[in-house]
Amino acid sequence: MAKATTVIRKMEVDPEEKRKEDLRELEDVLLDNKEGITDLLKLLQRFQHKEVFHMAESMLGQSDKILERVVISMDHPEVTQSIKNMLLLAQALGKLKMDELEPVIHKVNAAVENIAEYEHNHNKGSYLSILSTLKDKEVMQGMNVMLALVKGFGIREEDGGKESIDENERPARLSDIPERDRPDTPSHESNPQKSSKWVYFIGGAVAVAVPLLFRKRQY
Amino acid sequence: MVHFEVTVNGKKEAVENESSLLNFLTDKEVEVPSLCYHPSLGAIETCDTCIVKVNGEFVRSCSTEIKPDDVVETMDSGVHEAQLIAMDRVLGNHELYCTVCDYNNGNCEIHNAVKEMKISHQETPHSTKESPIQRNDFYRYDPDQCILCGRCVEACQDVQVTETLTIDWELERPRVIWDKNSPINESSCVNCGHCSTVCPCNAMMEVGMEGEAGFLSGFQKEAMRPMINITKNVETGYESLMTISDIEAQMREERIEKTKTVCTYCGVGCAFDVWTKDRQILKIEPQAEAPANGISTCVKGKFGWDFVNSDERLTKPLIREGDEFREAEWEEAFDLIEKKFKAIKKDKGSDSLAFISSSKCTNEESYLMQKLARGVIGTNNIDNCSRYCQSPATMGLWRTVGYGGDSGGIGDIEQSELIISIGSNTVESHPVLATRVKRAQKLNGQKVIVADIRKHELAERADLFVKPAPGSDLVWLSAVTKYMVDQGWHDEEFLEKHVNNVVEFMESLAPYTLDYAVEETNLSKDEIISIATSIKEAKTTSVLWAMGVTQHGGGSDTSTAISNLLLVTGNYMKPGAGAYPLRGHNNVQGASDFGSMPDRFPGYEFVTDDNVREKYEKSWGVNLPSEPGLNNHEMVEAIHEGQLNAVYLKGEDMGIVDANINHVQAAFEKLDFFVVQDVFFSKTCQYADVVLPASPSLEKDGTFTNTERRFQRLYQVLEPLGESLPDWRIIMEVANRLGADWSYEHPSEIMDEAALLAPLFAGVSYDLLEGYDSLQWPVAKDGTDTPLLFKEEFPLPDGKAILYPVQWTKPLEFEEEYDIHVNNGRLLEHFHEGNLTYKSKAISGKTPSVFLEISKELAEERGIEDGTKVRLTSPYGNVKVSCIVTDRVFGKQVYLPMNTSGEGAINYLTSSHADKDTDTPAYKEILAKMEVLEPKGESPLPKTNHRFGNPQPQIGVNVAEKWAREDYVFPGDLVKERRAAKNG
Repeated sequence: MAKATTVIRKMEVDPEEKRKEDLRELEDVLLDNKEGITDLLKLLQRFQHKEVFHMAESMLGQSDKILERVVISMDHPEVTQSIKNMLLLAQALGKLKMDELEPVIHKVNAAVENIAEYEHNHNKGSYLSILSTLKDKEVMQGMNVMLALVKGFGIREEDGGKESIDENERPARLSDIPERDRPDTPSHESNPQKSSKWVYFIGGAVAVAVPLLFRKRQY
Repeated sequence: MVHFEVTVNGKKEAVENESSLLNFLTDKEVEVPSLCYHPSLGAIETCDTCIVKVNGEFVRSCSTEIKPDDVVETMDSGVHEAQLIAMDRVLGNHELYCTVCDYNNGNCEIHNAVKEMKISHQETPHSTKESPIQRNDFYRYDPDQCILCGRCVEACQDVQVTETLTIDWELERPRVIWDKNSPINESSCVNCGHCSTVCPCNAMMEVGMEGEAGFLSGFQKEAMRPMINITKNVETGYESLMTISDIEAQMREERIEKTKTVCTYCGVGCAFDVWTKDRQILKIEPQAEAPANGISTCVKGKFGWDFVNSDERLTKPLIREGDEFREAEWEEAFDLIEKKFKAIKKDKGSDSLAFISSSKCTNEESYLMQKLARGVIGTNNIDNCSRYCQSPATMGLWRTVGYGGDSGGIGDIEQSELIISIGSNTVESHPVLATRVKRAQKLNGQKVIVADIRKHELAERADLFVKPAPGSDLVWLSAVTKYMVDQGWHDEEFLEKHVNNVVEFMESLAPYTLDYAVEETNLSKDEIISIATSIKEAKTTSVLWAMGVTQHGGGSDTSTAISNLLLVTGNYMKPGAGAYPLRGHNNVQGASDFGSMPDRFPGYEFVTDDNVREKYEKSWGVNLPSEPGLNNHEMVEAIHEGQLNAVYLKGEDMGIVDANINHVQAAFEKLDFFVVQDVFFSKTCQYADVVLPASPSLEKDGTFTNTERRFQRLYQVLEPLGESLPDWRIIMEVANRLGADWSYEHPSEIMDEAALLAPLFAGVSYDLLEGYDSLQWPVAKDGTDTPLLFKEEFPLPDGKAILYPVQWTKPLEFEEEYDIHVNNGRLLEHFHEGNLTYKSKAISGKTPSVFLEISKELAEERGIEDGTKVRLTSPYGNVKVSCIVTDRVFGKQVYLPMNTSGEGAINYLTSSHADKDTDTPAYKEILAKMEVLEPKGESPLPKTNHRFGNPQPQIGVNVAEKWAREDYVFPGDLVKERRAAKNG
């Protein structure tokens, strides 16, 4: 005859026994990973020495407020523009053709040396000496280089870009479609971008890494 | 099959299937973007991103039918420009902060389209719609992320057909609204989750995902906005955003598990992926390939899983000591079971023990339970809870057509020209199946007839709703049959070719004249003739029925009458027609299929058949009993009579769901030894000697068989909680303690054994059920399954069905003082007594307790209002419950949902009266008297319940209203205009 009951006595676990069991398990884990743990402890000692833990603890303890302050201070036109500029600069560097630039740099160096020598000797020039200099082979060479440089500045961006754009690649945004063919929507971006994923990745990774440090577990 | 040619980008292509241009291009791997299009929803035509040129004209490829000799251009610069214009408009509505977005899981369709189209910037800046985020405890809507694709609206209006969502195209900035612009929680939304399932982005999203799915999405609200601003301001093009967010999405793959399972609630058999992070369930993600439900779920399947991590779960075995339980170790529990079972078997014989299996458990577990009873203990005293619901339907089908299963699949119901629903509150009991009926009626004009005593949702929508007197269905069904025969509307050819016993049956119809039917059923002659005429006019008729038919003294006979009507009218052996007894539990079909029945082995072979028994004896290496055992109902009586001394019951709260529970609980008290195996400490557990902690479906592998006879695999999503174990492991251990030598390592081995023995499942194997693959029985040895149950013959002598004459069993009669008819059944939100669904705070918040539906007439007569507490008293017991006044019930009929195990539990009122052929309790035959206990009280149904909502039906998203807006120009037209201007 079993009458209905809702009384349930929980099993009492002997705390001492439980502790012993937990310790045994921990001991096993430690022994199984002896080498790695020893190295880790050495590293941790260094952290301890450098107050890294205290700093990290304080930061994590206040992570929400710190994150809020960081992102609010970063959410400012100058700051975001400077991050953006850095990314764009890195991107621009990627466009430089260093192979071709190297001889030019030599020339610039030589020119700088000449300027320094000129300044050092305090030579006084005259119209005649200028004219006679025009006969100098190196001056002629230099002027040709300068003219090439000036010509290069004169090339329109679109024409210059043509060589490197895949003919088959379709425009990826409305602004790449000729103005007259586009709908009347305002454009607030003007720089065409070619894919340089590594630059984006580094830039994005930096942006992502900071908040990750402060990410609070929600569960 | 269509055969013609078209030209795509200058290349000739053959068209073999009629389809939309977008589908055709997708098949041919021609890339065309699309955002509003969803294969399960069809063309919505809101996003314009799929524009292509056909014969020189810009068209939306999603809604364009492909025709012979069409010349299609998808690479044309004008096409690309039009697509970019469309995409730019989309991006004006959706802010790309992917890396800190919870939807960044590789499946964001906007993210993916931006990548595929190599879009680096947008011209139309994103701007707010100036409308706050809407949310409830299930999902949220962020208007500022909504691209107005209308998928959610399409799903709500035309798939789920709750008709809550629309897009208000008249607003300056259109957005999705609920009802007439109500907050979600005050609308008619039933929280089925379709909207969040089909949303292509994070606009409509499950709240379980919020702040949880992403590594960076859990920021406090104050930091999130500046973070998004920084991300957007420093980006030098979308490539960087896409790259970083793709990496973050890839990282999520490491910690978010996506595991396929099959729903543990009703018999529809919805399958879906469960997204988990450790034990945390982030969301349920239905898949279009799921055979029964596709993208559909109901509130329970989508959001009702909190119970899995409930603190109330049983995690250790319990052993009774006097009037209390104490937690114990498994070894001790098994020792005790072994000792007691052995002793009782030895002292009182095998038949003094009984076993009760569960429709909540897997097929493999049902198989093992009956193997334990028969093969180890040596008794056929094994049954399952289909005894409480669908045994009469199975009986009716066995008698007439040979197999006790649905004639076809849900797809057949969908395509049926006439759907008749009898005694089935299917919108609440089988919600996803009901959506297919509602959709068929709404979009395709199929006719729906409902016969019920309560005006539930399908009744409200029906083309014809008739209210027969309770328990009189057999009479009107037979009258319809007779009327059709009298009119010569029966299918003579079908009867001649496929049916036996025609003459005797026709003679048996003689008493069922229209006059007799009118007198006994309260239907009018016109109504009966109208039903007959509808069946005659429809090429295919499907009849759906459930507990309103089966839970009566003549439940088997009424089920038989349904099948008789279908046979007479030739509505078997063809797609879109047949009998559909809608199974109530996830595996109520499989529990019986796999032999948890007192008279049948797996696959419905009789225990009395010597050849069959010999087959099992040989396989199991034991002698088996040849006499049928006791069913559930008989077990209770046998306990009272002292014939049955020990019961092992799993996954069944028999102490609350059986009829006349005072009587059942009294029986439990008399048992010498009672083992109950469950996930929670149920009412039945309170009477046990040993309680064993079992694991629910998410914590085990196995298969379920749904109402369509469809086998589907469930994969283990989580580890068993605490020390709980999957039922099959517990049963195996019990069996081995009693001398069996079972060594199953995985449920697939159990299935292999069952398939080897039961011809009905001969070809079933886990290999054929990988992922979302499924099989509908019978399954031949070569793995061929049977979606349409009867094709050339019936599994009866000479291949013919049998017309089986039946007589009406009048419902139970009560003394005059019992004047209130107490109808009872399910609610959408809670499953049965609610021991799973009440664990969901969100569901309980909407529907916190049971309530009694009272008609307006009765309320007026007795001075009852919302919140009035009454006592209903039947000759068998009483309940106390608060009332809701509604027009869903009529006169002196009240409706008491079964979703409580407290003082309002329906089975304190019901009797032990049962179906005469199957012993299924006649739950629906109960009258009571009613007293008002507290005239005024708080309404048991909060105003946030969907029943107080105000649906706004329309077809789809009403895109024509968008196109009519002054600020809308079709991108193709815009491009044409500009090209024309350019060319002067």
